[in-house]
Amino acid sequence: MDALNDNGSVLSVRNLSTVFETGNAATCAVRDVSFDLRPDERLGIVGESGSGKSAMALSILGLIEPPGRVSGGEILLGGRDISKLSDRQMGAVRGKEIALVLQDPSTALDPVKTIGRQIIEVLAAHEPDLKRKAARKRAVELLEDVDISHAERRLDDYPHQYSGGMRQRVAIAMAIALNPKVLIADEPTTALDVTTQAQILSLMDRLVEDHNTAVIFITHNLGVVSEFCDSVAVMYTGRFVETSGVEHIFSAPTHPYSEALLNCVPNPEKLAQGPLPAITGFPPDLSQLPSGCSFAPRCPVGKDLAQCYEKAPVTHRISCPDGEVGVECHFAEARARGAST
Amino acid sequence: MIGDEGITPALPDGPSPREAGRAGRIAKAIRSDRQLLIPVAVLVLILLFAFLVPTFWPESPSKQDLISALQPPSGSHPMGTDQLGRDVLARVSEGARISLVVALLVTLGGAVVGGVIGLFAGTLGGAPDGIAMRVMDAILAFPPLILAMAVTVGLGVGLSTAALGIALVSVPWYARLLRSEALRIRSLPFVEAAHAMGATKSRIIARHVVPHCMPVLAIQMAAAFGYAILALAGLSFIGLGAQVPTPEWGAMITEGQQFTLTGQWWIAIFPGFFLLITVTATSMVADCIRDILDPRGSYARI
Repeated sequence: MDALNDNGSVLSVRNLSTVFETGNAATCAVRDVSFDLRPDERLGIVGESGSGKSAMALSILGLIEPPGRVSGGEILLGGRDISKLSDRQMGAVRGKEIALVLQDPSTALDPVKTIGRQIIEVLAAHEPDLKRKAARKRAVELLEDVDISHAERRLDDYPHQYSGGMRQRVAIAMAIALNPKVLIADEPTTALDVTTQAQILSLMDRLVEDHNTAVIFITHNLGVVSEFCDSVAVMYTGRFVETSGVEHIFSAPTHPYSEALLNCVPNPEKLAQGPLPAITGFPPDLSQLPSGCSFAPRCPVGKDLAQCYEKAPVTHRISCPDGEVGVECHFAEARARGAST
Repeated sequence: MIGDEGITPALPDGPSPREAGRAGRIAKAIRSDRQLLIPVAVLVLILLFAFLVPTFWPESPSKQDLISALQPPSGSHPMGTDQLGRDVLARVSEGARISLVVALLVTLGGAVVGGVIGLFAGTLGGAPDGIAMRVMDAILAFPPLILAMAVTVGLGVGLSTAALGIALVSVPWYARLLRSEALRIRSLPFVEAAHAMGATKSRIIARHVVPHCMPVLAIQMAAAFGYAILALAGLSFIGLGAQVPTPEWGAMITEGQQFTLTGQWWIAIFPGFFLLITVTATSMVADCIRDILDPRGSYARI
């Protein structure tokens, strides 16, 4: 049986912080983020560009390159803190226990190698005494697993002979090749057209179900989250401002930012009412964060309230009808009550 | 579920174009391009001249025959004989072997040493990178031929020290080139993907960075090969490379030039002519190799 953390989670992130230090400015990409991932959970992480989603994914995998570094916190996987491991020790974790699927399938594969060789390389990186024939057989099975026809023959093709959707399937096949406990998908469908997106999602859905993998799904696309995920974390300026079950975010978002984000999703009803609302202003400079709530200057609720500029909000744990919600806002309780009445 | 089957191109039976491969592409480029065909043909002839002549030509490059010294080109000595009666044809052929083999070794040695330094500097970064590249800069601060001369003099005049000197001055070029390539390739998404899938740094260098560097390295080596032949002849010409009686082209020109004034032109002219066409053909081929392989250049020749 897979080893879990003491609290029953497969991955437990505690107070993770990541900074990028350039010259005399330190940019805090991830600030004190904590969450637990259950063994079969699918956590969606949504937020604007630059909110720290990818930085967090890379931090978990220990792939932050200088000038960036993980400045604090623990990442518990199977009861041990992987954030303290050396790069070589991490090599055994990456791909084997935590795998990553990147956004752009056209660049995530080495253009000068056949698909087969690249899949076999992933297998060989973790199983050094794998025989060539056995490795090839596994690669064929993996390609069949991600619905690529003529898998045996397509194994000797190069990435440019595959379509974008097929390349992303190959990337997914490589990610699940070693049965990882956690799959981090960093906007895996963003670069694909809508029908291909749907195919990739249903493929991931099936594979994750079959392999019993926990997923961290990073995306801009709230529609994808509602379809694929069980729980959602809304990320803003490197923090989780709201974490909840997937229904809650769509029916009664508690944090003003979640609400604003949801309001930006177009649908025919809203479009009929006039132009789509946008969140005013821009996210703050991550190297010069304000002392209070980082969303305050853009917030429809706290824009003019001194309290929001003076004191950073703490995370309120609120029991809502659709489960427990964590909200980082001074008015979380009032807003949750208002929504439920 | 609807897969990509619908847009899968029909797979032809028999060998795919890929199997014809790079060799086929190069063969096609040679056939269809006169600018490449002529220098390649010249190089092939020089190679045949260097390695086939000793198999049937009875004269030895070192056998002295003072009675038939300084004879002009004739049926029995097509390139004449030198002041000691040695057959110039046999000597020029021997010189071609020396030039080609030594230049090849110099090029390979420089490429391997410089390439490894550049790859490690580019991949490791930080202090090793800084130290290695400053050392390379220090070597580059000297004019290349002067440094090669200094190395030769310092280690004792001879063919092998001359080769070592020329290889040494070529090292920083490879190091710089491969360092920049390694930096470029290291930041490509598929390298990050490989890293995220558990590949170690050394594995990434071997499996991803090195294969991607090969075209650029080949271009640099092709250009350096011609330079190595020329530099070797240059050092021998001024007496720092191959020593008498080694039939090296540069040394032969030095020996023969005094006789040119008295009318025995063939002793110096033939090695000089072979040096000229070998270096010219080599650099023309190098240009074409660049056009074919350079990822940033035009692909007009393919």
